[in-house]
Amino acid sequence: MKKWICLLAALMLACPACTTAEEYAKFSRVAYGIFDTEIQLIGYTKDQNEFNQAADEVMAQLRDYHRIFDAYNSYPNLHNLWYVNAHAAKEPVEIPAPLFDLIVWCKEQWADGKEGANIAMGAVLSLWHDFRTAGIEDPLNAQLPPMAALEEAAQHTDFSKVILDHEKRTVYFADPLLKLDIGAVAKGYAADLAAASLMEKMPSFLLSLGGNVIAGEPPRDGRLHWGVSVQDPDDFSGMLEVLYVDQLTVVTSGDYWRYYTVDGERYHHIIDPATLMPARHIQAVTVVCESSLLADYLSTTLFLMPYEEGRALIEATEGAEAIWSLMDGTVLMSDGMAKYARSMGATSR
Amino acid sequence: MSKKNIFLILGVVIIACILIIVSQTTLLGKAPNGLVRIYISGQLHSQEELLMERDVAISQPDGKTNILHLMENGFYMKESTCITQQCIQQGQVTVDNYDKRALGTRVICAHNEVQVELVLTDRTPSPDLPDI
Ligand SMILES: [Zn+2]
Repeated sequence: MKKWICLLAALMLACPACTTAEEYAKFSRVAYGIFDTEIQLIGYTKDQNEFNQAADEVMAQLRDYHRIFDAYNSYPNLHNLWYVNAHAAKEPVEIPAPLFDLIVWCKEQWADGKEGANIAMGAVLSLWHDFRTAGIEDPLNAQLPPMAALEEAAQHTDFSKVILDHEKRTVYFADPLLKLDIGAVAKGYAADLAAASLMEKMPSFLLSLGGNVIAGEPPRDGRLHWGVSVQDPDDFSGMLEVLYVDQLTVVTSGDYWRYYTVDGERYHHIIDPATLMPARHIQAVTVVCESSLLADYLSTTLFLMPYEEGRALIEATEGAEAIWSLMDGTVLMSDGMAKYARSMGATSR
Repeated sequence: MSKKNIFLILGVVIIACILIIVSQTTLLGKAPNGLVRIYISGQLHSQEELLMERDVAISQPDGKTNILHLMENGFYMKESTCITQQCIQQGQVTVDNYDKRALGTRVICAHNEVQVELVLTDRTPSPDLPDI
C-alpha cells in the first residue's frame, strides 16, 4: 500500500500540469451588424457555458440598444431615434429610457457651454451621410454635398429647440427641420450599459464596439491589466501604442474609420460645426477614462479642435487622458497617459 | 523505505519525464509553422495548416467571397467581394509580425463577416501582447 502511495506521489511530481488545472479560461466571441461594426467580447469564466450565457445576454442587450439608437431604420412598436426624427416636430414623442437619458446627458454638456460634439447637428450630418453612402456605392460618381445645402441645414442645429419633458419622458423639436444624430455618443453609452451588466455576470471582460473598448476587472490569468492596441492612422494594420488598462475605457476617433473619396481626396465622417466640412486638425485621438460615454464624447470633441486646445481640455477634465496623432505623424500624449502606455514602460503586470 | 522502492520511484519519475519531453518534441516536430482558423459570422468554418503557399477560397451561399493567400509563415487576404476592401489593406499576418500589428494575429472582413486568425503552434505569445 505504502509503495503505491509513493508511486502516486512520484507520478504527480513528474506531471505538474495534471495538478494545476486552470480555474479560469479565456473565451471570446465576435458578432457583426450591431452598431454597423464588429463587436468583440473576451472574458474569463470557469467554463464555456458560463461565457456563452454572458455573451448571449450582452449581445441581445447591444442589439436592443442598436435598435433604439438607430437613425436609419424603423422597428415595429419602437420609438427609436428614426421615429423621433420623423415625428418629434409634430408632437412630443415618448421614448425609451436609454435614448432619453442619452439626449439629456448631451444637452447638459451643451448647456454647460462646453465646446464639443453637438448631437442636434443631424440635419448637416444626414446630408454628409447620404452623399458618403452614395459615394461608397458608386465611387466614380462620388460628390460632396453642396455648401449651400449644408449652410441651410446648419440653420437647424440649435439644441435649445430640443424640448425634453422629464416626467413624461418625451422629446419635442421646436424646429421642424432639426434632426438628432447620436453617432458620436451612442456606442459609448451602449458600452457603458453593457459593461454594467457584464460586471455582474462576468466581471473579467473586455468588450469592443468598433473604436470603443471597455475593460472590466483584470484578466484572470495572472496579468493585472488588459492590453488594448491603438491603431496607427498611417498604417491600417500597424500599432501606434498598446495601453494596459482595467476598469477603464479606450475610445478612438480618427479620420480613417469611415470615409469616402471624391476626386482622389478622402472625406471622413467627423464634421466640424464651424466649417461644415470634415475636421482637419489631427489624424486621430484616443481617450482613456472611466465612462465610455464621456470618452466617446471627448474623443469626438478633441477631434474637432487643434491639439493645443484639446490638451487644455484634457488637462481640465479629471480622470481623462489622451493620445493625439497629429497631421505630420507626431504622436503626443497627456502626462497621465504614461502609466498606461507600453512606449512609456507600462506592461500587463 | 527499502532501496528497491526508491529505485522504483526514481525509475517511474525518469520514465515520466522522458515521456513528457518526447511527447512535446514530437508534437513540435510534426506541427507546421502555425494554423490558420477561418471564422464566418463568428462560427469556426475551417482550419488550414501553414505548410505551403496556396490560395483558399472562402465562399458563402449569398455570393460573398474572400480569397485567402496562405504562405509558409503566415497569410493575407488577396481578394474580397466586400465594398471597403479593408481586409486587403490589413496586410500580412506572419509568425514574425503579429506582435507589431494592431489586429494582432487576425485579419477581419467585417462586411463579409469573415475573420481569419493565425494560431501559433510553436510558441507562447508574450503576456504583453494586446488582447484586442
Ligand atoms: Zn473585406
